[in-house]
Amino acid sequence: MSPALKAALTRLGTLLLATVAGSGVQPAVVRAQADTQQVPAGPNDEATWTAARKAGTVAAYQRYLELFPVGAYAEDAFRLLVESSLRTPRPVPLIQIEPGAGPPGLTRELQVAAADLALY
Amino acid sequence: MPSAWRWFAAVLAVGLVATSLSGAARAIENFVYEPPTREPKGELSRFVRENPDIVLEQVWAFVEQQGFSIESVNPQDRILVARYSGDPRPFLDCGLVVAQNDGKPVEPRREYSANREQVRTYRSPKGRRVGLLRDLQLDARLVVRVEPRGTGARVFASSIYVATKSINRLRKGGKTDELIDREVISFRSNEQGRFEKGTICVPNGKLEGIALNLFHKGS
Repeated sequence: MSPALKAALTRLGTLLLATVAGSGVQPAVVRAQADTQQVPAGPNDEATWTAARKAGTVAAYQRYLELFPVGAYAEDAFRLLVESSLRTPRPVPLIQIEPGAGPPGLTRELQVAAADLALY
Repeated sequence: MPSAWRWFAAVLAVGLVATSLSGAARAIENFVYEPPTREPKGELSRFVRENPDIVLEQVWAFVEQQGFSIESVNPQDRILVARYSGDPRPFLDCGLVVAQNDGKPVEPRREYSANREQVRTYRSPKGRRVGLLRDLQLDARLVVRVEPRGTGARVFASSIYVATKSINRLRKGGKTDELIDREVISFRSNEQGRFEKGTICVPNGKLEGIALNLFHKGS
């Protein structure tokens, strides 16, 4: 069975079951997310977000977004999720452009050029 | 004409030609940034004369068909979350970078859109050429809600945008080297994002529109 057909059948099944049988019956593909999704509630939202910040991991932010897709902290969670998943190391901090200043290994010419370009 | 005058006129003519030639061949002095003029469109919505569950299914199929990855679907609350990662150009307007000389745009006008995914350029501080790669990446999270409205449904679409700007050094042969600067900003459909150095990015509403485009306008 082609993936597109499979996805379409899954979708159809999900919606039929959800419509006919009510919220208690949902196929496995959606259950993982739907079971954990709640209508955003202040205290739960806050507590989950605090826990996610404390953990500071991709999984924790993802979990928050699954629980509260339109939660109060969804923007922060998504931004931190993207930041956490950036694979390359954090940049060398850019700097006072003063002779002799700046981190080792980054020439002054490069610092000046980067600071100039960073405008855009 | 005395020979002294002839000599003076020749020197003057050569000087004028040299001056005009050097002006014509002068390199672009600097670039200026022109921010976008449009306003963010915010959350979009459309009324559809159809059962809300069917509408959610249609949105789901359509968004998936457009190549977005579906992050989650909640048929109970009728909320669908889709994600986009890649080129910012289809969904963000970040203004223009315009080449200038003597404080005026060069003729013919040279400009590039600041929402370009990659820009390779160089700077020559103190005569030493340094190659740089500016990379702009968009990660967006589209949230679609379908709510029952009388005999039909209203579809709401809003997004969270995360734009990542990175600057890497370019070595000979275009090889990307060390990361020099990185900045990550986020904003919603009804907001504009602003990088520390001034670049402003505004959502153009096309991402939210994707969830609504399959339904006729005005309904």
